[in-house]
Amino acid sequence: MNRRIRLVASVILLPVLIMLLSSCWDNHELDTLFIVTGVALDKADDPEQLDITLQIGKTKSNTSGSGESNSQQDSTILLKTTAYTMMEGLMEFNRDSSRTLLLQHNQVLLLGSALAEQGIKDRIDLFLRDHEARMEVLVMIADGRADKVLSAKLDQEKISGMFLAREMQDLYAVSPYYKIRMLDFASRLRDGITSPVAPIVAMEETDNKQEIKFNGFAVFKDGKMIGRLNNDEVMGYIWAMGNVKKCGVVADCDMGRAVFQIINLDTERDVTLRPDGVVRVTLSVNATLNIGELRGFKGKTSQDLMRYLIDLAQSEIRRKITDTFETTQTLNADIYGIGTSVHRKYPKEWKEFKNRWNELFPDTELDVQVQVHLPTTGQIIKSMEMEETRRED
Amino acid sequence: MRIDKGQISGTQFMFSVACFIQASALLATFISTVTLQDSWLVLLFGAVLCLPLIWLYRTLMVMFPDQNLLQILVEVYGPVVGKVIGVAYIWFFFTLASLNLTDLGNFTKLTIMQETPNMVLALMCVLVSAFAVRNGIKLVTRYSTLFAVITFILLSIGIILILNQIKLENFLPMFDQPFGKYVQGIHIISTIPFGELVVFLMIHPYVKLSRRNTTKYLLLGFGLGVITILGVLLPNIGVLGNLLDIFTLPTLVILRLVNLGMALSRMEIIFAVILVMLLFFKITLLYYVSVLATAQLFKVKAYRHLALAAGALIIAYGFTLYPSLVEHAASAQEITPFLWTPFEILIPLLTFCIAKLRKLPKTSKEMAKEQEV
Repeated sequence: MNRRIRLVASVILLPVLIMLLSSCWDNHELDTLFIVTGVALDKADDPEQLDITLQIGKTKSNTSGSGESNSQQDSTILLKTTAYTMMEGLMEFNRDSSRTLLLQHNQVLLLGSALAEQGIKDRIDLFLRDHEARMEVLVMIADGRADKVLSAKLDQEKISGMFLAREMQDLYAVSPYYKIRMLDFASRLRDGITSPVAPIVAMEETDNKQEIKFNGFAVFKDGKMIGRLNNDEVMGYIWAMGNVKKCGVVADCDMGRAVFQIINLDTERDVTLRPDGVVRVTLSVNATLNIGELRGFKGKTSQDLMRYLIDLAQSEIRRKITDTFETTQTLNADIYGIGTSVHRKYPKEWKEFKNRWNELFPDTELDVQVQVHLPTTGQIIKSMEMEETRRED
Repeated sequence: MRIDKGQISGTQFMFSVACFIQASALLATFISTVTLQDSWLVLLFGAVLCLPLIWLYRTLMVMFPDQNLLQILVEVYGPVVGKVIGVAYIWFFFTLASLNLTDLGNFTKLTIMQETPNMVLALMCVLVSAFAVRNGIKLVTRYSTLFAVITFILLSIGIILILNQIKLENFLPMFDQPFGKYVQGIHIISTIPFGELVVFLMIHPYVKLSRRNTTKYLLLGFGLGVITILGVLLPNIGVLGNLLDIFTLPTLVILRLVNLGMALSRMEIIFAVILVMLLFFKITLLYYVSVLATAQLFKVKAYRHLALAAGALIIAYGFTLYPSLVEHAASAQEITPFLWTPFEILIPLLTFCIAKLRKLPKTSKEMAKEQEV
């Protein structure tokens, strides 16, 4: 009797379990999804509103090989709308489209420069809150309108969102400070002391060819974009932060032009408080370089040249770091996190400094000490020009 | 008067303790929102400060090797007062079980199944738990070793994968917050994960242990649990820095950040697996203890019949406890530590003192015999 009841119970229970455990509520089939690969936010005519553009990578297979010309156009869909908040925009997209939007594979959040100047602190809530949102989404600023970058038809990559993600992955190998994820951005935005930065990209059109160019960094303060660093100044920033691998240093002088490749560049930062209340930052840069290319330098012997090149590289690195630092001081934006360093080293004094950091940062003194090593010269020891001078002797 | 005939070994007991604490580890937001980057220090301080508490539980276990908490209470305070306190404890066990069930539902929703109704998740968990509870202590604790080991393995994998994103400067500055915050943090850590070990006073009669081994296994289990919480907290702080306190589930966020060469990424499923597994264990144990306590109070011999009814009660109770996660978290920070303090610290301490004064453990066997006669 008991057994029979058990049998009946399990026969009833098992199908119920199968139905419930298969989580039918959360099924997402590939053919019912729109996989978002990029989000662009732009300033709308109404300052309260946003122009939202979503780039969707099509899941269609291209194996048929029937058309070459349409493959590029067809690989993405752009959805556009204008709404007060991001979520309202998403709701509208979901209502008006045949498939559900999937934000989990979003590669990049592009902010138009006009919107960035207007302020973005209250615009990114969804990108932190939504359960599909990931903190590893890249944050970038578009020169001009962001939707133009998303709509770019590139030769290298079919989907511009993927292009940006891969480009950043490459730059990340150069220095982790190139890649600004939502986590890094939001962390600085919340901090209030360290100014957030984000890479600027721009779509350029030449001869019917569209390209996306890397155009320096945007500097934020209080959630608003207040200035930018050009590509050279970005170098100065990256070097000042340290942990750089494989990046170029170009030095120009009367004797010629030398290009070095960084094998490893590390920067140690030390802050000290002077008795008169001025913060002094010491950056000790320790770089191992490789000679990439030399042009000129006639009449130098190899040994002289090495010493000369080391000096040249040191002064070039120092110059770039100092230049960038001065630019940020004029912007009054502490992108290095010097305030945070002071906080960590002098927690007691910091309580008083915290509110005055805006006044203190422009007066901060910078001391850069560069130590360069040139262990190898590449495949050749002497250059062609140097060789010639020898023969003439 | 033993309701459940099962017995468990010392190792199982140890891993049960470890699992029980581990289950709280992934929800360590309770302290990390209070003490931020110093949470790991607070955890260590809290653990050290809890050692006397653990010693107190251990002493009670050794003093009354054959009686569980409710029997001890009756023994020490007499039948009337003892039973009143016993009822309060039953409420405590039920509330804990319901709270953990709510957590399981909420966090499963946040991590993997967004659209699945809470009720379904709770029901599935309770049905499986009920099966274990009906089969007694042996089945309840059987998988503790497995769960604890899997947790260690998965957590280690997670930590290794996220290692390159940990920034050591995020741990600085130390001791930067007002003193009160540290006290609050230590209070929370000692009542929410550690003090809840008081439930093991309900099951210690089923453990085959000598006096010395009780201490050994209890402390080892406690140590394993603390290491796990530390292993969860340290990467959280190191990766998230000043954003630590804005996320509901920091561990989920950092596992989502894992990105090693594009291929090894999106590891949050690790979190979901550990979370569901450990919370299931904790709920089952609490559920079992609640059922056992109820059966004992009402002198029901066949406690099995209570299992499903108690399960239904736990589910229903869970849904009425907190209207939202925010309120749950807020009360976990401000109210719960005070509410739990009498159950976890004051009553056991008082019981211990009175028992010592009345020299109860010596006569306990005789009294038990008298009762049986």
